[in-house]
Amino acid sequence: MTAVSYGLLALAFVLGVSWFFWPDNSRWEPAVNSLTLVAGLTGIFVERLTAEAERRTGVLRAVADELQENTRLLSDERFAPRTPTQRQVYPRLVVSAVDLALVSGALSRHRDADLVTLLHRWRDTVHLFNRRLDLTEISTFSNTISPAELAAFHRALTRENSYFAATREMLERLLSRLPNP
Amino acid sequence: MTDEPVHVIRKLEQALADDDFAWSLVLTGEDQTDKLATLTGDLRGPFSRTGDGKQITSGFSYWGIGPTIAWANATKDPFYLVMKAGAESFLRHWRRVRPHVDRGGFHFVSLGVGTGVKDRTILSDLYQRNPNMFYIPVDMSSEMLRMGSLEPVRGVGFPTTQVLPVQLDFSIWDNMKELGEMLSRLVGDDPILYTLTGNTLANFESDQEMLATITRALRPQDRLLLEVASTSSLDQAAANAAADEYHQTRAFAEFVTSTLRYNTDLKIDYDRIDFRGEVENNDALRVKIVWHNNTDEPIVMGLPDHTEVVLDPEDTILLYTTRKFSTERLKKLTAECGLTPIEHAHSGFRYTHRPTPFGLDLLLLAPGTAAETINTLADDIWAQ
Repeated sequence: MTAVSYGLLALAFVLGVSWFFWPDNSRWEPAVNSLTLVAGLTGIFVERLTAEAERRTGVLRAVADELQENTRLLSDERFAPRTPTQRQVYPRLVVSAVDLALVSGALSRHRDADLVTLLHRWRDTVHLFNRRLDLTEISTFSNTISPAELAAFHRALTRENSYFAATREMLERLLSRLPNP
Repeated sequence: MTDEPVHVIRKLEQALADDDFAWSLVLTGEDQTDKLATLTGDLRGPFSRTGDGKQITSGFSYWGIGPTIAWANATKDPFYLVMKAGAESFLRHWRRVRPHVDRGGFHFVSLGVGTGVKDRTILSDLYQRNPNMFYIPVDMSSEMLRMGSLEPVRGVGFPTTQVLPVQLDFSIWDNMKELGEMLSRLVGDDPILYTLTGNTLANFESDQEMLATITRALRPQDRLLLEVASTSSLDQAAANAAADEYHQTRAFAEFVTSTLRYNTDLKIDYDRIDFRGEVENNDALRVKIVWHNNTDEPIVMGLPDHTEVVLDPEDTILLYTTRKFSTERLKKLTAECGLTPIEHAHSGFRYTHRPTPFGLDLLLLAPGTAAETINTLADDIWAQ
């Protein structure tokens, strides 16, 4: 589409120059005007498509960066199985880029249908994961908790079939399915 | 600037590195003269026809080099079919239990090390999963410790720097408490797999008290692997059959009498050894192996403290106690001790032509009730 648009403009320019040197031919004017009009119309579509592609690329790049940041957060030593059991505030996962991607309309309804579904699921997973961290902190920072219960929380969080493991697995899946921006 | 003194254990690690001599490091938790005084005191009990007066309590049966060798000979006796069947069934049972401890990064504490054959199986699997684990065999007898821990360590190629044999009578709560605290300091929050295999639980005067003692030392993340002999029949005929199992082998009789042989001057006559089977509380079979003065004359027995005890006609000395548990008894024991079964493997003895009610059970137990261990608040929050 871009090539057609530029081609039409170049042709109109050549005809315009010819018209300048041989002004007697009365057909130069409609030819130049028609070509310029058609080139202008295709140019509008080209501009729209380019803007959309740029927006999609920007959104995907932001989502990819955010997912990488979440990977780093999940590898935080506070989530490590061998961390000494103690009361602590855990880092939260972020979904602002994913939220923006979903509301921006930058992702194609047809081309990115699977990705949009995955992003919706990821958003829910992160909210539930962060909510679990809230509950864990509320429970572990209470006055009545015993060292055994504190240890049980850390064990429950880091065991193989916990929600933490499921979140990490989903993040890895999403990263592998994310198209290159 | 003065050099800091280096702790002897750190120096020892360097000193023993690449040394081919058969050193073995043992952490001793008790004064052995106290143990001899206990044994002597137990042999001064009152007159009893039923084995309830003078006795050799569990642990002393394996105490000293003589009883240890006698035990090793008994386990190798091809006529000791129960031992043979136990070794075979353990492999099958362990395969069922193993998935529950495969991924926990467990350390291994073996209570009553025995021949070390079962420990080798467990250690081999745990070591593959957790190369940084510790193996801590615990026994009252230092001789049993040395003999029993060699088999698993050499068999698996387990690093000797990660083995810590502990000489301790774990049937005493204070000892078990100290052991639990020392292990907590040693491994931190890592889980520990305690094992009590070879029907050792059945040898104690009160099996419930023994199991409760071990349970109290368990932390929520720890597990107990318990192997017991079981029965599906609870009549006198079954009790007699259980007693006969032990009567079949001369090597076993030599083992049960070895403590008397090595710690007293009593002349051992195998005609005076009775294998008495009885039904206990209608939920277990109990076999008492007793020395019985079946003569008409009193017999004088010299003790290690150079005193003498007169054994009147019909008097008895309880040499060894063992049991076969019914399913009801096992359920009752675990429930009363606050243990939750995670896995339970059972198989019947297969070495007889006729059907036998006897078998072996292997249980993996977690401390706490089912509600506490399976549905803690933490587990509920982090469930998928």
